[in-house]
Amino acid sequence: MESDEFPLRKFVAPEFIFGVDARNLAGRYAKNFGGRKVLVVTDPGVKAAGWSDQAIASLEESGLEYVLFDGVTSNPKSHEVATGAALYRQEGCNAIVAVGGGSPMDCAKGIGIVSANSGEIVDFEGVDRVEQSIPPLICIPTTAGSAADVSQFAIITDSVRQTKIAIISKMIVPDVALIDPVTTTSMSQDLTSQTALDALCHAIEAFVSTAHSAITDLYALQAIRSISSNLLPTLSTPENLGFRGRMMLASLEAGLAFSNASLGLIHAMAHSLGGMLDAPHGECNALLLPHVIDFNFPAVPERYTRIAGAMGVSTVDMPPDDILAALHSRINCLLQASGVSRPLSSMGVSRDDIHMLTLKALDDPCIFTNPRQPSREDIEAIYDRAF
Amino acid sequence: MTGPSDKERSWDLEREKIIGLGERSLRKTYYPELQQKLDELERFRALIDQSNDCIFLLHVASNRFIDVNESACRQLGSSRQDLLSSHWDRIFPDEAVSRAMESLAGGLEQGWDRDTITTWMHSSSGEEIPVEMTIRVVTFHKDLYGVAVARDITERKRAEKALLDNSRMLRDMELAKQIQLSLLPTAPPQIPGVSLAGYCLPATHVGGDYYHFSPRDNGIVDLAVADVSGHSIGAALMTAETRVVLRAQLATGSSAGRILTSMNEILSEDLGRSELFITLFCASFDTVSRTLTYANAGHSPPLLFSQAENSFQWLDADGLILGISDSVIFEEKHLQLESGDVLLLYTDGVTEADNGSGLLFGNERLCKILCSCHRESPQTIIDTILLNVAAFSGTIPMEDDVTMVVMKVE
Repeated sequence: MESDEFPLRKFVAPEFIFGVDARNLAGRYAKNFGGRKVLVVTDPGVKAAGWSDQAIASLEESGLEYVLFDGVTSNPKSHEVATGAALYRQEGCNAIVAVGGGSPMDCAKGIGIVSANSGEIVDFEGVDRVEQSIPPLICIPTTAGSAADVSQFAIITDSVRQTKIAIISKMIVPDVALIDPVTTTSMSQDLTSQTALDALCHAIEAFVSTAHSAITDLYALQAIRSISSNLLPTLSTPENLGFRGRMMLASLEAGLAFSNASLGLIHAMAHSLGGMLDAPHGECNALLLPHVIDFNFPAVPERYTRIAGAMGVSTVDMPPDDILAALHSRINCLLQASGVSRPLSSMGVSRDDIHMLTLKALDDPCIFTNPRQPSREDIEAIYDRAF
Repeated sequence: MTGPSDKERSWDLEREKIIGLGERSLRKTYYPELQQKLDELERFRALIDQSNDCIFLLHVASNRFIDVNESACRQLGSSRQDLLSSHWDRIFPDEAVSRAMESLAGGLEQGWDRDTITTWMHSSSGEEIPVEMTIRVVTFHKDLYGVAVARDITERKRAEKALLDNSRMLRDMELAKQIQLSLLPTAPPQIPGVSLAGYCLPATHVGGDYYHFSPRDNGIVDLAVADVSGHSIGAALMTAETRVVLRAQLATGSSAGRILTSMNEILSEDLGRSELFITLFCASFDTVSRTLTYANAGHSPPLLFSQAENSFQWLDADGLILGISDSVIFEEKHLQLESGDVLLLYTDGVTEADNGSGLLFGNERLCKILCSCHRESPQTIIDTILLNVAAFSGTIPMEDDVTMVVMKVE
């Protein structure tokens, strides 16, 4: 038997409902999960767009009480998790509804972890460190990128150490994701492209991950294909719900892929960068993407060839070096067209920071599934090139 | 390189966990926690069930029991199911139910959260169990509940009743004591040629001792000391009867021996029925001729101190205790007394006083004391004897009634 062909793999996904108006099911699900008083976690931008109010209206319709926590900032901080968890306990909540992008959803996961397990969120850094199941968690994503609504990941910025910590646990996969493309229509151009490129990185990293499986490959390739062809049309017609829906679906597919196959060096390095700069996560990923592909390509050229194919690059009879060059150029075009092409130097990082950034990237659990094991020098070189 | 480096091994391990193959790579599940909580609940249930108190959980809005403990089922003789399906007016009387309802309805607004009612529970066998019930209002997920804890107070009620009965009895006994003391001569009669004093102290509230002295018109004074067996209420009643009969007999003007004979005839039926006996010494002293006439129905022989001869004499005479036989002849004796002679009538409470180590006060001590104080007034003589008896007994409580009559010839 070819043992390499069928390595042990697991696929975990929450129940999810995809489609227009899925968001209005929050109340019904919260009630079915035994919710009595619900903590609604969101951020000021999402609240201003009205999405959290719609979720609250749905809870009220089901006769549920709620408490609003909208003190989440982008790249959610550990002290925000502590504040939310204190509110959760103080108000006697027993379920959580997260409305927003990756930040409110990750913060909601953190609040769930702390309220079920006590302690501080930084105590749970790493893989499988969460002992007790978190309270029922319902996620309503309002961006097409993070896919925190289906993932076993939560990324929190340790406000003391100014670094991002990754918490990876099957215990924090939400109970249900209510994925409604309508909610993404309130995104700005910048946010639309940043989150889309985050999703693209999810799909690419999941596809080349050493933990990939036949099932995650299906989702990853489909997501890459879909983002490549729908991102620019979405940016040019942001009100078009068809394009928005396809991007949302691609984000979900990328999420299902990376939640199970995990990520790689791009995310390890982007987390380190985001922790230091408080910069948009999608943008950090995007500017590292081409350089990490250059580094990883020799380890799994055939996988990158398939990625290139999914992005519309014709790779027939091409030698590997040409494929890499073609893929590189395809990605750069996409980045430029979507307006995300700042170099690292313009983001407030100096070359002196590279050493510290590298050490933190080496500590990030996302690095464990990168197809090529980088040395410290390798990572330093990649950061350097991103300048 | 022969094998993977440490770094590679730890990468592999972490990768396994990320894939979901780690030992702790569990999908979210509440079942283990639920199981633990259920176990805790079961333990808690056992705790509640083991309580001797009956515990009821009442859902206020529906006015129904939603839980009861095992103690409640046992004491009421009903199954849990049965209790849960019944209204609480089946178990508690109407007034208790309406008071509890009022408390539960209005309590919270008035800042009240607890009320205690003394009432009773109706068991399925028709028994009425007196209980003290504490009702507390608790709010659980916005629903109002009453927790009623009923404690069986049968034992407490019994003890309270016993205490009440006892205090009633004590009050009655105190009254009886006052009545009995009022049956004794209030003060010694003032008769020329003789001085008298009397004393009677029952060991408990009432006693069986009695004494009497009364003057006749012709310078004769009658004296008597009686001791009914026991110190019970029966003895006290018999003492009262003895007094009536004695006074009636004395009124006939008969002599001591005849009086005792008549008294025996009259009292023997009552004494036989009540299984009591009386010892009685009866005397009359002629203050003109200084002649003492006396008869004795089995009573401790009185002591006569002769001043002239500085000697003692025990005044004994043949005669059975009253109540032994219907017809008894009592010997009657006569004695010439002289000025300064002292006659002491007493009951065995004096001579048989105990010092706690089995030693009795005895006749000898009595003689000695009388000898030492015969010159004093009759009252002082009695006081001196009492002081000595008290000193002899120490802290040992008096077991018998103590009675004395002293007559001094002037």
